[in-house]
Amino acid sequence: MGEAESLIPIFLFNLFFLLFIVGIIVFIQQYKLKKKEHLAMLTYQKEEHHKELLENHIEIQNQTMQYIGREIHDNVGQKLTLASLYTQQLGFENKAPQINENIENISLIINESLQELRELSKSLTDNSIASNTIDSLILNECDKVEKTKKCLIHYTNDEVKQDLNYEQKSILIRICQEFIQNSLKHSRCKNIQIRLKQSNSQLQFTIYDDGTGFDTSTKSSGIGLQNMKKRTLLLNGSFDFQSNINVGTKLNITLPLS
Amino acid sequence: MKELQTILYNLFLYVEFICAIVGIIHYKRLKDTYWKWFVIYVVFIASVELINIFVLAHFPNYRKYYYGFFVIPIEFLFLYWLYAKKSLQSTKLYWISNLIYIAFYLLNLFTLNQVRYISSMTYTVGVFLLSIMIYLEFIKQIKSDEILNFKTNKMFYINIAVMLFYIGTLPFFAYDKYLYENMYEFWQNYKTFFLFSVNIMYILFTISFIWGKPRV
Repeated sequence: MGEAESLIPIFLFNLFFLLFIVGIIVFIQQYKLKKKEHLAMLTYQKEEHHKELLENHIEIQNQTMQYIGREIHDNVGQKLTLASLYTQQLGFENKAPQINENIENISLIINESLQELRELSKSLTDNSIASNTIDSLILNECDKVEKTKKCLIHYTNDEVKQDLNYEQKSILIRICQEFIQNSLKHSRCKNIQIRLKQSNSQLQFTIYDDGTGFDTSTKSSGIGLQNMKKRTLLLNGSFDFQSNINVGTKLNITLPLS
Repeated sequence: MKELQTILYNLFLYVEFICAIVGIIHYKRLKDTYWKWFVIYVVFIASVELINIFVLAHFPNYRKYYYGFFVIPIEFLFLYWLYAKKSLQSTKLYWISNLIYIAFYLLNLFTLNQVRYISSMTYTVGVFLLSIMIYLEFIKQIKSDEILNFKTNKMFYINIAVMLFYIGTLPFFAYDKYLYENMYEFWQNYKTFFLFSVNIMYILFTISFIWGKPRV
C-alpha cells in the first residue's frame, strides 16, 4: 500500500469523526431552539384561541341581551300598555264603583311594572359599557346601591387616566355588580369600598365590604365570581379573593393596560 | 479480551436475530411503505449470518470473498437506495454513488485482491459515499421541523447506527491486515469496538422498528 493511499482512510475517518461531533452539537442546539419556538407558538395559539373564545362569548352575550331587551319592549311592554289602558278605561267607565280603588291599584302596579320593564329594556339594549368610561360605569353602580339604602358605598379613583378596552370594562363592571349583589344579599355589610388605581402599566381594582364574610375553605365564592376569575385570567390579569368571618370580603384585580 | 469478544459476538447474533424478528412483527404495519424493504434487508442480513455459521464454518477461506464480494456490496447498495433515493429523494446522488461504488467493486473483482489496497480502497470509497449521505441526512433532519419528532423518526436511529458502525469501524476495515500484522493488540481492541458497535447498530435498528413511525 502506497504512503499516500494509506493516509486516505485515516484522513477520512478524522474528518468524519469531527463532522460527527459537530453534527451532534448542532443537532442538540437546533432541537432545543426549535422546541422553544414550537412551545412559544403553541402558547401564542392557545392565547389567541382563548381571546377569540372570549370575544365570541361577549358578542353572544350582547346579542342575547339585546334580543331579550327588544322582546321586553316590543312584546311584553305592548301587552302591559294595553292592560294599563284597559284598566284605566274600566275605572273611567265607572261600571263598578265599589272596586274602583282596586282598579286604581292594579293600574298603578301595571304602570310601575311598565316603567321598570322599560328601564330594564333600555339597560339591555343600550350598550352602556362601550359608550361609557369605567369610571362612570362604577359611579352608575354606586348610584344604584345608594338608592337601595341598604348600605353606604364609597368610591375612590386614584388618577386613572387611561380608559380600558371593551373586554376589560365588561369584566370589571360584571365583577363589580356580582360582588355588590352578593354583599347586599348575604353579608349584611354597612359599607362597601371600591378603589380604582393606576400604577405603571397596570390597573388595580379593589372592592371590599365590612360584612359577615365567610370561610373560603368550606364555601366557594359562587359560580358568578368563579367565571369572572377565569375571564380575568384570560385577559392576563390577576384575581385575588379573600374573605374572613366577621371581618369582611375583599377582591383585588389587576389588569394590564395596553 | 477474547472472552469479551466471544460474549459480544454471541450477543450480536441474538441482537441481529431479534432485530429481524421485530422487523417481521412490524412488517404488516410497514407493508404499504418502502420500509418493508428495510425489514427484508434485516431478515436478509440475519440469513446471511446463518449461512456464515452453518455453511461457511466448513469453508473458512471463502469468508472474505463471501463478505467482500457479496454481503458488504449489498449492504452499501441497499443503504445508498435508502438514503439517497428514499430519504434524501435524490435520484442523481443515488445513481452517481452506485456507479462509483460499482466501478471500484468491479476493479476489485477483476483483480481479485491481487492489488491489496484496492480491496480496502473499495470499502473506503463505499464508506465515503455513505458518509456524504449520512451528513446530508443529518442536515436534512436538523433543518426540518421534524427534528421535534426525532424520537419517532426511523431515519434518526438508522442514521446514528450507520454512522457509528460504518464510520467508526472504517480504519478497522481499511487497515485490517496492516493492523493485524503490525499492531496486534490495537487490532484486538478495535475488534472489540467493532463488535460493540455492530451490537449497538442492530439495537438501534430494532428501536427504529418499535418507536419509529414510517414517513412515506
